Amino acid sequence: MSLDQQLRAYIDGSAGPIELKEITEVVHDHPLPSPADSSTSPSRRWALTLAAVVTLVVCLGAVLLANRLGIDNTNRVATEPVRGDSSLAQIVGTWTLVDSGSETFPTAANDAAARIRKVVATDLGYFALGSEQSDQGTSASLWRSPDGVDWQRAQDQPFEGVRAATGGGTTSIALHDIVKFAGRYFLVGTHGSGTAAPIVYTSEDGDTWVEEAVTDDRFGLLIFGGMAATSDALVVAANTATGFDETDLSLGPVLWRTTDGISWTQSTPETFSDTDYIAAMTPQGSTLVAVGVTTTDTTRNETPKSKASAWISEDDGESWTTASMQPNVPTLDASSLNLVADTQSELLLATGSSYDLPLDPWTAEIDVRYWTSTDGSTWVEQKLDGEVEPGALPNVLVTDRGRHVLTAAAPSSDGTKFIERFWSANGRSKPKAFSSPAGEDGWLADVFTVDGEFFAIFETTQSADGPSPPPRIWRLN
Amino acid sequence: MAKGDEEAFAAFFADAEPKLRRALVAGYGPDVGRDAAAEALTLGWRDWVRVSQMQNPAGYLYRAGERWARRQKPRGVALLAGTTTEPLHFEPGLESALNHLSLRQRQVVVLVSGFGLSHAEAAELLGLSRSSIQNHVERGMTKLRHHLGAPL
Repeated sequence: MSLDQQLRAYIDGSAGPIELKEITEVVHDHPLPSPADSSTSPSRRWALTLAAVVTLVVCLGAVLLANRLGIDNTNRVATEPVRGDSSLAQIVGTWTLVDSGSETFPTAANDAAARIRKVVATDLGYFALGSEQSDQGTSASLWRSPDGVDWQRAQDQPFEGVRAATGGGTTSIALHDIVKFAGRYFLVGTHGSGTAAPIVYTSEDGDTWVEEAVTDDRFGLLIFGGMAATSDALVVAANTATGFDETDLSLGPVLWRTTDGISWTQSTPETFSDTDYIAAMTPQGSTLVAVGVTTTDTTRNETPKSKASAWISEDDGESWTTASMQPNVPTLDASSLNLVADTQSELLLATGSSYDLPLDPWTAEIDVRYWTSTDGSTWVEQKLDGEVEPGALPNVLVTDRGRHVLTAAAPSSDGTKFIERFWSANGRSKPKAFSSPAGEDGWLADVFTVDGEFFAIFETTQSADGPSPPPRIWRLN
Repeated sequence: MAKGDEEAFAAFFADAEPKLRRALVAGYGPDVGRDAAAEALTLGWRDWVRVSQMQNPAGYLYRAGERWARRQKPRGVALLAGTTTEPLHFEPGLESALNHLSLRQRQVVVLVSGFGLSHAEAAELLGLSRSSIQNHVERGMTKLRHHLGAPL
């Protein structure tokens, strides 16, 4: 059999044709409301969904905690200070490109392209977690910066991929977060599907990283849920499936915990069930807070439902209790959930997107949700006034010195691309404040703050003629 | 939807479904890729009056499907997960070999070499230039043959 024939057999054999009636019949069952209905009930839009998988996706949110310095009155971002019932900050600035281009994130190979997943602020400076992609494959990578603009590859890059259990290929490690605990810095990553496992590296100086033995277990699927530390324990949360086949793919959180930074224990607290999904975790004083979703109906092509959930632990992650976060949200997109704790306002903030069933991420009127809490147990949903662009999806929530910024991806007016935009929470209809150069298609990798200034890393998708362009750094002026 | 619009969509569907599904499956794996194609086509059906006026409806829906697929898959992991359970009609190492290609290379190799799309058709669907398609085909096929141990 020729290679061409094999390709056809592989693709069509693994994913058979979609029948027209799969599309049309379901939509007929859930028609759109008339324009008149829409004007009086704008959130009631129905569409086909295959969104049972939505609770399986990775949390895109960033957790960036501000340092404790005083407010810099030279910044030019118009903001409202956060109060107990506050809305998010308004952004009226413009974004300018500040990096030098292709060498902003140096790579080991000349033909490799840097990809940034997240920027983490530590007392050692800033770390960019990402990967380097080339014809030879993808490998995890780490960069350091003193100021968020000048980046250097970390000296030590021990993040070698592992061979997949289901095939001969090597799967890359995905790096997720860095947290300081017990005088050392812990970098958490996960192996890819098929050989999924949490992997933790430690460092004392940010340059030399040593892999720690967390577990010998391998999981059929593992989606990172969060890493957070109190003064007495460090906890890593993930959503896992223990089996390697479809008969045992129910997800449920698994936690790994250490009190000394050396010995780890694995647990599945009874509080969590296989319908729970942890999307983000943060400390607030001695309390650990996690937010996520609980799936209440996973019937495919029916009406999948999930509600926002929160859990807290007051014994350093050993036991957890459930907090009722938002019972009235019809369905929550786990991938959009973000959680941050702001030290100045002593507030926990969470964002996510919800939608009337079923999910249509492009055209449905998705409600951007925003909650605050003072203790993780009781959450208050804050009202967000103003119009929202259809299809806008929250991406990143940043807090800095009592100011909070929500970003979202919004479709362009002609619907041909999605552009990352910054939104103020109490004025989501504010004009676009950010886009890539010339409106290139791409995505916002992360937003971070340096001395009160907001920076954004934007990744454009592969250009028409040539390799993928490098990530670019923008600063809000 | 008017009868004429339904017929127009059906004609569009017949042409676009295989391309969208194969491109997205090649890029994001069988499960996510097929669901993404279904989601994209549903968008097209629901909003056909507007989509049909676009210069490149299939390209628009591909982008919508890609956006959906990206939200399901963390970046940086193997895109094909070895889930095929059907009797193999291809080399056992094909899936692994495809994993050595970049996402774009996989898509282009599958569409052009596997299913015979012209460079222009693939370029229009994926939003790439023809020269970029040519580049992906050459590099992708070279890597694919290398990893399969096939003659170059």
